[in-house]
Amino acid sequence: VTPPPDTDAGILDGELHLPFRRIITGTGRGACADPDEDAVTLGASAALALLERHPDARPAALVLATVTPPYAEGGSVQPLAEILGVQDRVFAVELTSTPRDGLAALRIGGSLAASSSPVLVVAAHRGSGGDAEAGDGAVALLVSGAGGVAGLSAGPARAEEARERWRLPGDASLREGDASAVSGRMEKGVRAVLEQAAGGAGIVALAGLRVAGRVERALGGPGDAVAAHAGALGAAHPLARVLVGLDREQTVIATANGLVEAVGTRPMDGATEVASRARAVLDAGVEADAPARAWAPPEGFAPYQSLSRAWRERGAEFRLEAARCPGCGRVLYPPPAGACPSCAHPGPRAVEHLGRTGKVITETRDHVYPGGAVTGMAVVEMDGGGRFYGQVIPSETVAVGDRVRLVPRVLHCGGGVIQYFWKVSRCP
Amino acid sequence: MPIAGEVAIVGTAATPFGVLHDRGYLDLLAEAALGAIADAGVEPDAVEAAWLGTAEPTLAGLVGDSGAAVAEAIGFGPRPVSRVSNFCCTGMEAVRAAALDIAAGEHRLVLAVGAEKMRDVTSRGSLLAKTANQTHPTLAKGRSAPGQFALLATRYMHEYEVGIETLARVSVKNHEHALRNPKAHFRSPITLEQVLAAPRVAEPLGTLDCTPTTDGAAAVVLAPVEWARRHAPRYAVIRGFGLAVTDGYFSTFFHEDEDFLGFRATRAAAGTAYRQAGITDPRAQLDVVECHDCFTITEIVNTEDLGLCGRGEGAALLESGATTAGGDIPVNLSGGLQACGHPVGATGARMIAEIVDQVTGRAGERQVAGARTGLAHTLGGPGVISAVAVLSAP
Repeated sequence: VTPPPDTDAGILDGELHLPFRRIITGTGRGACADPDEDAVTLGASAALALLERHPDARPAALVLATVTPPYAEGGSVQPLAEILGVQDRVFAVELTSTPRDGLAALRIGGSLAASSSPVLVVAAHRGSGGDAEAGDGAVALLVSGAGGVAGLSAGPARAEEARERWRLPGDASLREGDASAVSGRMEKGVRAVLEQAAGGAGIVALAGLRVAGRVERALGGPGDAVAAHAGALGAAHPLARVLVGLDREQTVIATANGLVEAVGTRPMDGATEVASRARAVLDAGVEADAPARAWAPPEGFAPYQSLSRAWRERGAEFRLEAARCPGCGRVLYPPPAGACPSCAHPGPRAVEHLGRTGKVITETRDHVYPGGAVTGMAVVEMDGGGRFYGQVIPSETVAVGDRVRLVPRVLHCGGGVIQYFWKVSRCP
Repeated sequence: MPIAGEVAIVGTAATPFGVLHDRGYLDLLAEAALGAIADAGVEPDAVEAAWLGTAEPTLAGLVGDSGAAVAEAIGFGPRPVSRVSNFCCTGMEAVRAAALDIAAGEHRLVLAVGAEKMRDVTSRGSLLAKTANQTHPTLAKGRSAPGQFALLATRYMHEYEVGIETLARVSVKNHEHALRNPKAHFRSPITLEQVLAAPRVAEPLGTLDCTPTTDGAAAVVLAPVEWARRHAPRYAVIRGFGLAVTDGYFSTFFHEDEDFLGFRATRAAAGTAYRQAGITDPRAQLDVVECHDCFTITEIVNTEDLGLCGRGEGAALLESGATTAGGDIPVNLSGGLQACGHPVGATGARMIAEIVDQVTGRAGERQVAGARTGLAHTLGGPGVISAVAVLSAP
């Protein structure tokens, strides 16, 4: 694929986020999230790590791609925008139809970046526990209108009616087409795209993992390390392949249900570092026997919720907005309504964000809180001041003195809305 | 006039504490209220006003936001009745409100009754469901009452290098004390091994480190000391009454001032009560103490906050035997919350009644010989509210 001469779209940086736990699957290892993670928290984890390396980046657009949106209707990109702190200045859009949408998000990001740069592209998948080949993970990319560590070019695309996996309204699970016919149609579609493309190196096919792998082998592709180490990552899969191959010239093709699309990348300075980091994430992890249990709150667990309260307090909740007391200099979280609880200074106080790393000063593992399992609770003295008191992620325990960080998770679904909040996790 | 030195307690009563399937909320309330009035040697008609302490009336299926249950339970005519609530200090708060009523000169004989029916629902459907379902949906979500006090246990054990066995000794001691209290929820001795082997509730605390979920009611009748002197068969004088509220329900654990080694609210409330009562050396001047042992760690830090020993010395005080029956400063001779249980609204009234009975020589097998001055203490929420009353013989 030859980049059109009038575009300088490029990838500035990217982050692959995979849960540490890997389940052995029929085709390799599958990354397996905790029960309190979903596409929003996984996507946020990838994007927060990415934005930490680019504190001055102010994304003008946020494109989310996921086939496992937490909200089937009503939007899942808003909580992601809130967590990332871009809620008040971003064009946000989400693509949720097929795994191809990850690559579509990158393509759209490249186009948007030409006028307003950078664009944050996030693709996330929460698939483990369902499809045996599926894993959990997310990719976040910063896309620029003016170069980066890799040049980006949009290749040919098709939209044929060629059903592989789909779901009608009300279907509990996916319907699937006959595998050998799917394979044949897919190969034809991919070959057609390749013929339309002017050239390029490295071939990747995606979606309907096993079939795509066969097609890829038939076309002489490099083999799918993402599938082998993380499982099928849905819409995050094509972007994970983009990232791990970013240090070579490549054409990544995503194909799903007749939607076929090619994106080319060309390495520039810094590409090796980004690709190596992604490959290290792929190779990391610890092998575990069983997927995480499903989160099932017991009957009668119905936390109070108010949508007005949630909106009003979204700064403290999604972004850990705290306040610094001008009297005693303490960081106060949650920000008090009135006077400082330490020195009684009335304020006003400037907003300051609670740090996301700190040290455990006390903790418990609560066996009676009706959260569906033993609930770890910890009090953390945050770096930079202020305290956090909340849950420990379900796959870990912490002890007094441990270095920890706050990670975005689902707390519960009280009142029928997904309540995102921060939980305590040991520093890696 | 002030409460201290001017307000007397002239009648006391308590129902048995336990899982009382055969009695409803109004039955318990009536038994305690009428018992205290009879104990004061007056007719119900002579009582001019009442204050009700109930923290969670909805657990008993009541509307709950009023004192009307007193009128309903004992036919308490058209008289002023109000309900008060202040976390686990609710029972003490009813007594304090009645004392203020007397001190204001508004009424001469006032009933304070605390009642709580917690076991018409399962124990987990009681306060636990409240903390899980009510209050803020994100901040500190995952907390439970044992989980909050477990944070102190963890920190205390870490800071002072105290073992879990020390905490367990509080439970062993108070269950032993309860053998002499016919109204206690639990009246069986337990061993250190049993406490340590019990299933964990919120680590490091196990089931036998925790107060059970209990039904019960207790009541006292208050009057001016001047009235008591002339009419009461016997009475105790309130020498000091402190109440301190330091923070909200869970927000205190977010504050950097919180050291997880004790409770500022108790230190403040005790400071007020001691100043009013002229107590400068609590261990020497007090003969008997009822304090809020909702969890084993709570009693240890309370003894420090009440000034019975220095900070960090509560474990040593316990292990010295000083707080055991026969010791120089016996704590929770009733069995405390560990063995009596903790019907939230009733507890403070029960403690006041217990100390009044001690300083009037009516504490039965639990009686501390010659006891003249005693203290009752409750702690509310995760330690953000504390009430301390010092009572003595006239």
